[in-house]
Amino acid sequence: MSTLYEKLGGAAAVDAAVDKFYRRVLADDRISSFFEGVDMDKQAAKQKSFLTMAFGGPNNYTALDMKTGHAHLVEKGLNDSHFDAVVEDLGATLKELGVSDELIAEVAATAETTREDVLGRS
Amino acid sequence: MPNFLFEGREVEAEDGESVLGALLRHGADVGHGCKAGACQSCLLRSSGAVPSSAQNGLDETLIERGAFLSCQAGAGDVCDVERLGREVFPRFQATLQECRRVADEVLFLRFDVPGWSAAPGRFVRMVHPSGTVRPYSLATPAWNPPTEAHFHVRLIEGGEMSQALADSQPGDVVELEGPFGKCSYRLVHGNEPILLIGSGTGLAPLYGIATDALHRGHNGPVHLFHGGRTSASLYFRDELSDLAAKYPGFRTTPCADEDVTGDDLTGSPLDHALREHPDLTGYKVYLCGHPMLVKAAQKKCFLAGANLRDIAADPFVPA
Ligand SMILES: Cc1cc2nc3c(=O)[nH]c(=O)nc-3n(C[C@H](O)[C@H](O)[C@H](O)COP(=O)(O)OP(=O)(O)OC[C@H]3O[C@@H](n4cnc5c(N)ncnc54)[C@H](O)[C@@H]3O)c2cc1C
Ligand code: FES
Repeated sequence: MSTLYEKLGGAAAVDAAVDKFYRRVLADDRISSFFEGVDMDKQAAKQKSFLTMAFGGPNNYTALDMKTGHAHLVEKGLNDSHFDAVVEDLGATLKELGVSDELIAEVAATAETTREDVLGRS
Repeated sequence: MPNFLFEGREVEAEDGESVLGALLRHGADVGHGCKAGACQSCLLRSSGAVPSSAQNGLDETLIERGAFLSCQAGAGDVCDVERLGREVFPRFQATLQECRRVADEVLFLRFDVPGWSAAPGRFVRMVHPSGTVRPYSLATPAWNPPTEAHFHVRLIEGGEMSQALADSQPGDVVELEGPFGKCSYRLVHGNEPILLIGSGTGLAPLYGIATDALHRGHNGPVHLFHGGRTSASLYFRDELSDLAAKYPGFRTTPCADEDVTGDDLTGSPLDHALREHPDLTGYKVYLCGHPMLVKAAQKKCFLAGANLRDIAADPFVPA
């Protein structure tokens, strides 16, 4: 049985997706204001570890990191609608890369497990 | 508390403090400049893990040695920290050969540096005999011997280094450390269009990179957008038209905000570049000069389709 990460293509798949995903997120009017003024290289590195996690790959994300890393955004009004937008952008990126709907649903479900931590409700 | 060891002694740090911040607060004598991850003056090394976000833009050889930017690493991210030894950063003696004004506020400097070799566009740390250290980008054309180092330095009123350089004479000596950074033409390039956008002395690395690409036979078009406050502040026009005459693939577009003369365009070089090149998919992009322009350009060029790893940027963040 291969894992979700292997089925998607592992680290190479993350590399292929990261620029496309980050570009979608930055261009998405619903959430782009949260990225105003951030360092792009640093942010891209974060997007990469987020994708690795959502793809079921090796990562060292912890619930606490998720919570503290987003606390300043929650203060600025980050809520469920923004989280939904990110998951939608993630799905659209994978669709663009030709990933099957079935695997996209699995990725979305993995990303979903972080919702409460990201929004500081855990 | 996110304490760490510095050269074997424990340093008390506060939550959210950077490694550099904690060291400076305790009076440690650690080199630093921009505190924004741009100048690489604050390099230290760690024997343990370091966050990759504190190694952005560093050479492989530095990363292998555990080097990181101490202004970009949280105190809690590291354990055992020390200075990089001199063997990692040899210093080169640079003797001034020529120093002249190429615009009201811009100095052109040419040094002779025995033993030196670095790709045009990368930057050095220039160490003045007075002890002042500032980063400057290499503007040496690719066809010159590597032991020549050319710089374009903007004169800043009250600026320690730029004023000292303005007063210097042929024969004067400074030291160079480096080179650093990722702003240089890479051999893997071949047929891609290259877009260069810069303001002021941001032209220094961009000119170096353009000569390198063209001299090595780059096949894709190379388009440089140079911006300044006024048309009169745009320097090196002859050198750029010589380049265009010699290499048909090269074009340059001068842009100024006010007192615009001749065929110069009015407005920001970034806006004009994106108007002419709205889709940057597959482009190699180089951005240098004013930090605000460079940061905005990085984002806009990425949104216009350039891959992040294909965008090389040196914001000239002051110390
Ligand atoms: C990677 C990198 C590469 C660089 N390459 C070049 C280069 O090729 N050519 C070049 O000219 N510079 C370059 N710089 C900027 C350079 O390192 C110095 O910051 C600059 O020359 C000012 O130094 P100074 O000692 O003359 O002034 P300082 O004594 O450092 O500053 C005096 C005062 O002027 C302010 N100041 C500094 N710069 C500016 C500015 N641009 N506009 C308005 N106020 C300012 C300072 O904040 C300070 O208050 C580069 C910077 C970086 C980080
Ligand atoms: S002080 Fe850290 S990179 Fe400039």
